[in-house]
Amino acid sequence: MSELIHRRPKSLNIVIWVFVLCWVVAAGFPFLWTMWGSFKVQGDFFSKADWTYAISGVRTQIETGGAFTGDGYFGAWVTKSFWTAALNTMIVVISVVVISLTLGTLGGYALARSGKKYAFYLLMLALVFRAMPHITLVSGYLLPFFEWNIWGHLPTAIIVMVAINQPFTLWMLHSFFLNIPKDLDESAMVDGCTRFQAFRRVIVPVMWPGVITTGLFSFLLAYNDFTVTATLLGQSSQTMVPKIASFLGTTQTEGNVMFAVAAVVSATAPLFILVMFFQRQIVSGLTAGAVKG
Amino acid sequence: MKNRTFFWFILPSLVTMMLFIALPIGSVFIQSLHIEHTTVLKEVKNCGPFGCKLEMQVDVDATSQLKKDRPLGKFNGFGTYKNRNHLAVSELSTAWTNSPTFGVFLSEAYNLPFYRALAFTLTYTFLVTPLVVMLGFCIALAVNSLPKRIKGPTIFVSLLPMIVTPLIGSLILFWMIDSEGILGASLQWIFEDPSLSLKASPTLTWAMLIVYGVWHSAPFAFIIFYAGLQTVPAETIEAAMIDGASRWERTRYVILPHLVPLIVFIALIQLMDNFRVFEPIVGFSAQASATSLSWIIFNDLAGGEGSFFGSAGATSVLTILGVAVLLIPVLFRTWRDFKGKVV
Amino acid sequence: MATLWGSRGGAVLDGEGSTEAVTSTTVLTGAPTWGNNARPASTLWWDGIAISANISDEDAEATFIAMMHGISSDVIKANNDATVWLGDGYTPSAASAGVTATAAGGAAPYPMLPFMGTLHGALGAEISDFLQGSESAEQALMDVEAAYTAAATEKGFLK
Repeated sequence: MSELIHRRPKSLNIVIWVFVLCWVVAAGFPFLWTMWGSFKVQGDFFSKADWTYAISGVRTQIETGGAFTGDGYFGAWVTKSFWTAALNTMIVVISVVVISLTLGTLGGYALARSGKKYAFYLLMLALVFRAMPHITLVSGYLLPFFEWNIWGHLPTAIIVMVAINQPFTLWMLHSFFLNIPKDLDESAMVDGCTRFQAFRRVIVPVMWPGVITTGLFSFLLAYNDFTVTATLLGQSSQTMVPKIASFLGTTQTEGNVMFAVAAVVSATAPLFILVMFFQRQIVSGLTAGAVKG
Repeated sequence: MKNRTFFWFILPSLVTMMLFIALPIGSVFIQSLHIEHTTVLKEVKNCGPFGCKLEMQVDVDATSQLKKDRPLGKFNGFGTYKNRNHLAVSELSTAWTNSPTFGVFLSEAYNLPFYRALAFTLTYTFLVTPLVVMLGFCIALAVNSLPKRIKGPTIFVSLLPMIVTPLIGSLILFWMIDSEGILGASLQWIFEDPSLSLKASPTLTWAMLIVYGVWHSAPFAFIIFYAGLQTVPAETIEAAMIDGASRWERTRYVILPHLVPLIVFIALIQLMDNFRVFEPIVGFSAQASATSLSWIIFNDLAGGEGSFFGSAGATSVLTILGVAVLLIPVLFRTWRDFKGKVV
Repeated sequence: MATLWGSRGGAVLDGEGSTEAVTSTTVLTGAPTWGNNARPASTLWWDGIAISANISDEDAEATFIAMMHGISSDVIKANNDATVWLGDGYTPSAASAGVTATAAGGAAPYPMLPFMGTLHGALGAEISDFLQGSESAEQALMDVEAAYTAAATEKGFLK
């Protein structure tokens, strides 16, 4: 764009800066604040006396002898073995991403190359499936899963999340494969390859940017899920998000808020790193469906 | 591509979707038509740490035998749909005849759990969606006019509310607005009301959840609008400037029309996503003042007071019907887009 | 004056999250009686032992022995302050004085009946309107009854 467009009156510039600043604070400050508070004791982070205790750490000084404490982290990770939940989350997330992408690339490729009417109807069906609230599907699983005794196992949750993830994965990879020129694999087939050989030798080497972007979103879906993991996994196979919910306590069981705060910060950290490294892919993935369509 | 090849490529994906998405939709419906068998009772002597007495107890053997014979339970038709905890047909018609004004009827209806959840779900959906579109658009315009160096970090921070786990995001905000947290305490100080608590008032709880919803989804709209802004042809804007169009006029008559397809896209996606609002209610422990359709289903399944599969099924079917209504414009739009393009 | 769960007493009296002003002036005592009754107007929610039906007999026996050991007076004496005990050999602390007094006064055990869960669900969902002041107690109780009737019918407790 030309320089002409960028020249703005000073007052408008101030408005823009103030607005962006407000938004950035609204978007970022809660995370900073919670991270800061996770190193305090409950009496400071939720102070009955004065909220500035959270900054000065008065009770933390009294109870632990320092301005910061790792008690919340120790309690969550060691005492309440949050690490098993972290491990379970890792297993679930990696499996979901790998299986989703394997099934999704095959299906997405077929949908992009078919050109038949039924491929379009399948895509429409996937759109309908994507719109289904996850909890309505879960209420269909629960009874049969109890009956077959497969409730509470990680593989059950994994395959369910793969299925829930498929419509989105199919759509995204389908639109990605559409952008890979048809001639590429078709010329390989002219050279005597079967369709699958052409896919493996010609398409697989060039598909990684799209697969990585789609994989990021599969990762986020599996990592952020609460509905499926909270209802299909039991105490022994719990993942991070339902575990955090259990730290909050119920009427019958006592919780520990500071454990939950520490666990929340621990669970958010990987997402921060993810956004830091893959910001470009996330942005392009979000816009792929919208801007082109 | 040959039909046969296509079939083998799509098969694994299709099988998982059919098994875990299509089949449950059917089984949920069948489930909703059944209720549990009537429990068989027997009289037994029960001794606890506080003495013995005769009491009626469930005959476990007889009841489980019934269950074994017919695992689905007792057929109840649409009874669960019509009962007080769902569509409440008879309660509503009584309220209709007995209510002097329409307002009274509405408040009677709001007293029923299904309609209460529906009221919140719809309010949330139809308030959050336009607010997200508006806020996202404003952020995109503002960020677009920042110097290049600052754009990257700004986008990074902006993505956080959307990327972070919904339950975690709502917990983080919930802890801040707790009356002992930073925002809650500040609000008490600003309004000079030490008893002010956002959690105690239903209205404020709704407002809080809606603010959360906008906070969580605005980045989505922002990113899409921001990308859309990059595609606005510079020549058109320059031509408008030469014609003497003011900044406001350029935004209104050049940029906005260019982004209309994106507004439609964001609105449709957001309508569907907001309709399933669930995690923030758990995170904010807001169920006393605000419940959603998804939340009632979750509560029926895993609320800690036993599972109500029939109820969960009935609410699920009703929710799916709601989603179907919201889906129609999406399907219509996709249909139209695709007709000329691919097939 | 406030009524609270007996097991929550400890959190009020310990140093963490509470202030000196609160801990030094708070005393926990048994539940009050009502009318001319000598019995405290409260119930005791005690923890029981459950062994699942699908484990082997040896496991069930071992579980039973382990759990009986867990509530023996030796264990109670060794872990006096870990929780509020109802067994022999327990010396009440300041935090559990209220619970012990209520138990000694002959409070009734909480009715552990299969449909109580359903009733809790109905109470939890409908009583909040009354507690928030947006509904009369009568209306809230009527709602509870209606919600319970629908849920208990589904559960097979009512015809």
